[in-house]
Amino acid sequence: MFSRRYPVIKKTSANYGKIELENVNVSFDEKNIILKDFALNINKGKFVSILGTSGIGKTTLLRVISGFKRISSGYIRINGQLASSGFSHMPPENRNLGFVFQDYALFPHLNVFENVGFGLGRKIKDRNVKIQNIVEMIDLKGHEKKYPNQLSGGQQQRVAIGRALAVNPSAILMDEPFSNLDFSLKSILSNEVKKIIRSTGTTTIMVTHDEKEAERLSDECYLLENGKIKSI
Amino acid sequence: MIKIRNLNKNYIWLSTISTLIAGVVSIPLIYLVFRAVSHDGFIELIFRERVFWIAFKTIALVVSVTFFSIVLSFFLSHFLTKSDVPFKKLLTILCCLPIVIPSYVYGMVFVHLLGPKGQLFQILSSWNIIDSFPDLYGFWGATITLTFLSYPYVFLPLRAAMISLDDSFEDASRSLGRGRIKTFYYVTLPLLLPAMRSGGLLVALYTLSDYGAVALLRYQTFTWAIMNMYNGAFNRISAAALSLLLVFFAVLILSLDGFIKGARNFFSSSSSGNTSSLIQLDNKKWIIFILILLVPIIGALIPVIGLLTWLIKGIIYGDVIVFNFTSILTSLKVSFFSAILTMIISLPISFFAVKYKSKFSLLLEKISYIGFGLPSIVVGLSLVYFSINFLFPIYQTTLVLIFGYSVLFLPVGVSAIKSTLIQLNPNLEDASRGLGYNYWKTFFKVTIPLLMPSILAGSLLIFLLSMKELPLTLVLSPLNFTSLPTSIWSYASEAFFASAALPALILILLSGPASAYLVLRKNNIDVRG
Repeated sequence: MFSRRYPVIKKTSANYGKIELENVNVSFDEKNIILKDFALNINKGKFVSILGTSGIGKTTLLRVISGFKRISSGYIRINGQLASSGFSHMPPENRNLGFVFQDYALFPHLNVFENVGFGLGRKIKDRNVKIQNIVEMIDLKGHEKKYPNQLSGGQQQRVAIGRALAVNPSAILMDEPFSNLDFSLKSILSNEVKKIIRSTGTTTIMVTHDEKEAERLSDECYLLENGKIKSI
Repeated sequence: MIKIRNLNKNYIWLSTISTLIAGVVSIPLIYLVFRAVSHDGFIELIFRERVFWIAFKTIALVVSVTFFSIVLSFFLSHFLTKSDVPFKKLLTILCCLPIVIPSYVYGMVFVHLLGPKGQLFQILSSWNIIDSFPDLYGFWGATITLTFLSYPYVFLPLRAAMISLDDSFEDASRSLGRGRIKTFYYVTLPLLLPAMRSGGLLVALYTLSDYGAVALLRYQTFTWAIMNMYNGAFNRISAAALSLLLVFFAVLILSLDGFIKGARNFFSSSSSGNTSSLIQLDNKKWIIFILILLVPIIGALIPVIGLLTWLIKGIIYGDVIVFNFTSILTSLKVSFFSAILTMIISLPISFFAVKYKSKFSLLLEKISYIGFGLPSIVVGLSLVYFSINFLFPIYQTTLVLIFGYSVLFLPVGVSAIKSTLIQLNPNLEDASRGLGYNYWKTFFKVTIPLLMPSILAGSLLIFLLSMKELPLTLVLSPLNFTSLPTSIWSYASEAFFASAALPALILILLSGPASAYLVLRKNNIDVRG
């Protein structure tokens, strides 16, 4: 089986980190329409939050952007390059997006070091140094050999962020990243995460149902309702 | 080394009970060692060229059957859990059915239908389509027969593992730039390895201890040689010495199993469940459907057709078909009690192995697997010997027979409980303890309900296996005891195939609904924390 080659977008490109959705329609069946003529433009380096009640389609929106779900019609451009349309679909591994799952999805058979380095190729230069830098950035030095089940919720969350950032993504997508944490930890960690992401200048889309959290962290906030988006 | 903090009251209880169970289960092994060592020509017997060839042939068969069972099960599980292949539920039920076909029944039908002068050859040659037929006796015949009979041992745990495998792991890998193939190799395969390991282990041990199929397909393995010594020369000492070699190979398989990477205990930290949509097969849908359907056709339909042919022919030609219907009740009763006893003794061994992981608990677990590696006739004879010498009041009672089944099928129980127990989020038990429940209350209110689907599945599997077990039943059954397998055997050995076909069909009909339950039951309890 041959896979299509996609052009590599340079970090210096004006479109790098830009995400555009235009007239996107997504539905599970004729009755369950999730996104209807959905449009959203996110500029490079912005931290954007999408708010909405449970089951409204926030996670589906992220899965559509990251390429896990195909769209019925419309266009999605990532870094100025067409990623999804009604006729074409770029696989998730070629989109260069980092994804932080709600449950973190840390590989249970790999330790912290291996989880963080998972997305880096085996032959990449200074691989171990890069991983170690990320481990230090997420403040988990000394925990490299630990497995996910040996980490606290906050530590797991940091590994998930570090793993997503390690591949140098053009944007990072976060699905309710703080929902599994207690109130005090949520506040500390969300600030930490914001600092880490800001330091890398990565475009971020976070979906959440917590209005206060969205306001505190984001440059722009939107509300997802009836398959459409409204600016708040 | 056992840490001091682990030496609490629960540890002492569990270790004592597990040690006792492992001790009782290892009686057959003790018997074997005793008989073999007392044999003067033990060394000469083992280092014969003929024994070397039998060992080589046995290993070759074990490797090929295990390999093909894993490949076949992976193909079936993948398409039946991840794709939109039509009639998925029906196919899943059908794919489990070969587990109820006894190897001696399959062997008889296989030779009768597909042998060099079998039914298929006769039909095809009468139409002048062919004038010779490939010889299916020997290695490939035994491999095909045993693969199609034993693959459900891998298919069942692999299918369960694929269902419970959170798709977000694969999604995470793909979002990190790994394509489908690399994601499969680095993420899916290591996460499915525990299920493949436990299933593959059962298939390897099943093949090692099978007698019926290899004897009928004329492939000389250890069980064939041992049985020949018992039946032909009635040379118990030589048979015991050869059986000891068979035990050695069972231990070897169990040891190799430990070396396979991915044996680490882990539990899924995910709670979102499967989120990805099914693979759309589009126009390949019906090709895959037919390919899947072929598996139960070969594994279950062919033997049923063979039996029906015998029965119909018998009726047409006016054979007297005699059948004792109390044998059905006896089979059900004995298999039911054996399933209960086996699961009860599986619990402490599994708990001790998972909760107090140490070299000692691992050793006890390995001992519990020995029963499946031994040919059942050896287990049977050792229990006869033991009960005559030490427990005469229960000699030749149903009690010894049920215990014999439990020794044989203990690995099934341990494997079923352990595979779920290692994935059980320990926080759930801690949460219960934190809410004021003590160890035992937590065990009964939290752990057991979470394990219940696995306990039921394991019990059902043991029930099915006990129903069709022949050699052990022949050796340990009390006087005037008639069950379905003994009926089949007595009729078939006297060439009353029409009479043998009736209990064989009843055995398959009785086991069918149980298999359906096994795959249809819905796991309502989410064991992931």
